Amino acid sequence: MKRQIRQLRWTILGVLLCSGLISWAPQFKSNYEDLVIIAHSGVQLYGLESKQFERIIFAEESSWPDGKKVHIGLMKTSQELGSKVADQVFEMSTREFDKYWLALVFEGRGQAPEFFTSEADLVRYVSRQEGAVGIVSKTVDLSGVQVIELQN
Amino acid sequence: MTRIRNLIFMIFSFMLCFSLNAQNTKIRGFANVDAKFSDDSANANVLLGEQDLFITSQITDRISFLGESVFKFSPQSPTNFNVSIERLIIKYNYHSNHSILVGKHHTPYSLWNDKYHHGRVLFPSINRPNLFSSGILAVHTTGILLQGLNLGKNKLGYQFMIGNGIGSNDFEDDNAYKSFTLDLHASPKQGMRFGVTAYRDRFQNGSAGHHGTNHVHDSLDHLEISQLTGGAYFSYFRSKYEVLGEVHLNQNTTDSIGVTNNQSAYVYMGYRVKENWVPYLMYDRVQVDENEVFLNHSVKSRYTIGLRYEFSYLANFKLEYNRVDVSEGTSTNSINLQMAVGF
Repeated sequence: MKRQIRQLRWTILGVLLCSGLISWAPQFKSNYEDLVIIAHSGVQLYGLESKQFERIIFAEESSWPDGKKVHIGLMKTSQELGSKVADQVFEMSTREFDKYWLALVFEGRGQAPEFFTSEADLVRYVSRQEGAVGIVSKTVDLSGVQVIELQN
Repeated sequence: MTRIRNLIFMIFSFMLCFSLNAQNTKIRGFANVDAKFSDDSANANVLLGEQDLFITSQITDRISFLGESVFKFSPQSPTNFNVSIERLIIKYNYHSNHSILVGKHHTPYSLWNDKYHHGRVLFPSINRPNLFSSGILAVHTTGILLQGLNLGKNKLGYQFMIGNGIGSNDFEDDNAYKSFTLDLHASPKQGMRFGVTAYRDRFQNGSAGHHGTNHVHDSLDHLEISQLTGGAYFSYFRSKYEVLGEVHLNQNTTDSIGVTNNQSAYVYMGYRVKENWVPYLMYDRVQVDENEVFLNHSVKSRYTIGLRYEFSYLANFKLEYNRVDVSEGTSTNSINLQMAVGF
């Protein structure tokens, strides 16, 4: 019994050491060259920090600071903008990005985003759905939504 | 028994209809076909795996539903196939990232059980760890789960569950004791999760065990067993590196026989050499005490070397060589193949 407890202790120590050794730490950027973060006009965004927004767009926060449910809208990775968002915002390959959302839903940890093939449809979704947030290119018509400026 | 099964099916159908009419309902699924060439069999076998359907529905901003049913080969069934309800969960998100979930769950004990379970296309290897077939792990629990996820900077999480426990079915408990499960974890970096987990229950020997495993000694039926299982896990999956490991200690205590100690552990490591290719290694061991009355005594080790090719996130092909060493038995070698898809 003592030997088994000792084995368990060493294993747990090993696990903790491994976790300490892996020091990959993504830095979420608050500004992107061609991309803009949009939200439903009713979302209270005052003072939203980039770290807070990172948690929201990764579906790690289910509600906005004002308590409203978060609804994420994104472009499909089959679209050029979708793969750009996966790469620049999520820092994932398109495969990792798609798998991330599939696993999130399968594990029952959250709700997958609504995926779109047209930026105009995505902007329309964000403008109509209370609590919605999305990422589109700067060139698209942004009427009916508010643009999020993040604080670092 | 048939009536109970029909009743479950009716309730599930009702929930399904209800969900389909609700807003934002999605149906997804997994399926796999395997092949096995083993030196303990003269034949090479192609076998159907499982067809798994899972339905999610966001009913209101705070209430959601998740249902999962599996269709799989079962020689006991007149049609050779069985349908089972693997999960039926109603979730109420009462505050921020804190929720209460009721229904039938994959017990939040063991990372593999929590993350993968039936999602073969998500599995890093072909098979589940031996932990699942050993009877040590409480695979499903029907009950109430309190859950908090992604709390604070290090994304801490807790899951505490009270359930019907060992020997019960999805309708009733066969004794006065409830099972208690606790999972505490942290995900300080994207793709990383580590934590500790525990399971406690009391039941009578002779009860149907975890995942259909049976007690060993009929003469000891109705002997009261107190079970305590504890473990730790670590996983890290990022673009190139894949690491996953768990260790569990299981202790069954009876007044007459005393304490028996059983262990289970596995470690998986993969490295993405090209965008779609992941070679991997896995070592998996289960050791059940020779005085154990509830589980079959054995010491089983499995060594795996494999290669995974990912066509996309929804389709992959795996090829594995496995060597299994069992105490008081001969070693077996096998080549396994699996095509797994999500849809």
